[in-house]
Amino acid sequence: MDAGFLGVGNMGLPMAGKLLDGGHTLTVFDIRESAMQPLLDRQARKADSPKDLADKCETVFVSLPTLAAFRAVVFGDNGLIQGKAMKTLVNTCTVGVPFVDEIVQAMAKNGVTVVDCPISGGPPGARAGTLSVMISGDPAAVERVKPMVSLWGRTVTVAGDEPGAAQVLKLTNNILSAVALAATAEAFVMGAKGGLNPEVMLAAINAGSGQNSATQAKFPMAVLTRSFDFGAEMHILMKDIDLAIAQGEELGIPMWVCQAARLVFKHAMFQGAAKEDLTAIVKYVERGAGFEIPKTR
Amino acid sequence: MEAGYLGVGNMGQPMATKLIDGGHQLTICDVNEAAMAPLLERQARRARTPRELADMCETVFVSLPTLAAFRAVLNGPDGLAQGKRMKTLINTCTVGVKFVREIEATLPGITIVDCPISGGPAGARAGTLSVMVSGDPAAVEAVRPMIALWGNTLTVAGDKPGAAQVLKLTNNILFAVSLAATSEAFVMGAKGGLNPEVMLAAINAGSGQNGATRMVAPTSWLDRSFHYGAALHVLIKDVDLAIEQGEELGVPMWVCQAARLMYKHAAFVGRENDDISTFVHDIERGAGFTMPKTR
Repeated sequence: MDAGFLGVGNMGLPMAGKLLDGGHTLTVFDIRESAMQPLLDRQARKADSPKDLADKCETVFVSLPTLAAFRAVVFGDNGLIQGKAMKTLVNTCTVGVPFVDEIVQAMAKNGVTVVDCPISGGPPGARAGTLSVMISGDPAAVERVKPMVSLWGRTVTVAGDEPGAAQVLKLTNNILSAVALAATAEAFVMGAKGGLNPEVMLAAINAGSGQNSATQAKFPMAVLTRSFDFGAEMHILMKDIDLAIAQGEELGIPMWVCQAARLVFKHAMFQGAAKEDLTAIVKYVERGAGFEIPKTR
Repeated sequence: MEAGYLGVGNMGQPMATKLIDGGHQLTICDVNEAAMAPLLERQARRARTPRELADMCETVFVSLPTLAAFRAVLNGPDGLAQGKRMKTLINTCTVGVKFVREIEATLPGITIVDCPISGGPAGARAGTLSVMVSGDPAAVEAVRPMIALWGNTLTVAGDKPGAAQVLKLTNNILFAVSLAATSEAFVMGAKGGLNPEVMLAAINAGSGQNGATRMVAPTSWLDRSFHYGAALHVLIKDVDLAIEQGEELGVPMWVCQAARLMYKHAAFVGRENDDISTFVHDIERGAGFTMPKTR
């Protein structure tokens, strides 16, 4: 299948790479030339603008880090909305239900179907092809893109038959991931300052009820190495937390623990952590404790 | 090996059973007659008091749900401290470092092996507990053939009693926070229109997976059975001990504190004896929404 891919950054690049691996022909666009290069080297074609991409491709994937960037490529100069060929837009971003509704309404005027398809697993999961893919929208459109999105991971979950359902699912997942990261930072600093070897702690907790995605992936890869290079910036996680809590408040769900995690990340952001790796939240807990988890890898 | 087992309740009974399965000879003691019956049927012997248990056995395991219960079996005229034969006490309870020091002070000359476990009653029955141990290395090696029967993962946390407590509290505070956040997030997703089964499958394949999505949601929420097998007051004890430990070490723990407030609230409204999986009821009540039964 021919498709367009808009935004080939930390997530988009490996995801577009998997589509090429699967034998699909891609046209790509990104504001950064260098980001596109590895795909152009593999015979992907290049579009000059979002409009150009939507003029050339019936199906366009969008993978962008912020709502502002997404709005700009849809509605801005030479935006997607002006393209003539696009019939299906596949949104892989976590943007929340109100924003998806905004895109759906704007696209409906041009007869474009929106498939909502956020993913979970971060850049390492995207590179390994082990993402959890969540999808919702018109069932026929979902079936059409399934052969492509299944290349990203073994688990493709159909969340519902309207765009937006997959956003709710993704936000449910991500707020759990964020709370686990914050709590693991607190608990590991406690354990290490209490005299435990972090490796011993990691092994026991990963075999026990304390295990979560921070203990399984983020700590072994990016904290115990002191490399803090999981590959996603803190402001992106902050966006997901804000969206999840906005969703929860709209539905009237009491979310004390999620709110506390939000404060912990906000506090780090206020101190300038926005562009730091999300695993750097550990350093802010360490600063408060006056203690650093030792490097063990 | 011969050993004594004090406290054969939700956790102790399946753990004692694994020791019998492994060919060990047990003498048991519990205030609850009914709890002992299944083990007595399997040829375990019976001690009438903790003191008698410590008169009969060199090695005594203790599995009790509260610090108060533990204190009660240590001291007093019929307490473990009065026993003549006991040389090693193996503490499987999550009681915090301070209480381990109290046990050491109460039992001079007795070697304490600290051996809290994680995985709940289901893990105990399946023999898949995560076993954490610390204490004198020779004593740890001596009991290893027995405690290894409880699970595939045995972690030596250090060479002093207490280190295993720190490890266990680190694990349990993570579980408690996960259970609270998973309650919040699942009610949000379900009230937002998601099928809980779909949500569970995707999250367990994604970065949201945790101890509660793996062990509590599938076994106790989706079938609305709420029978995970541990009471809220037991979890609250662990949360209190973990935060006390964190405060003593000067570690900021905002998220853990938020989880603690929520559990305390459940206890204040009289639910401390309810199953930990019922915690989601508090969120459902606040949200005016009940997750559907899907199993």
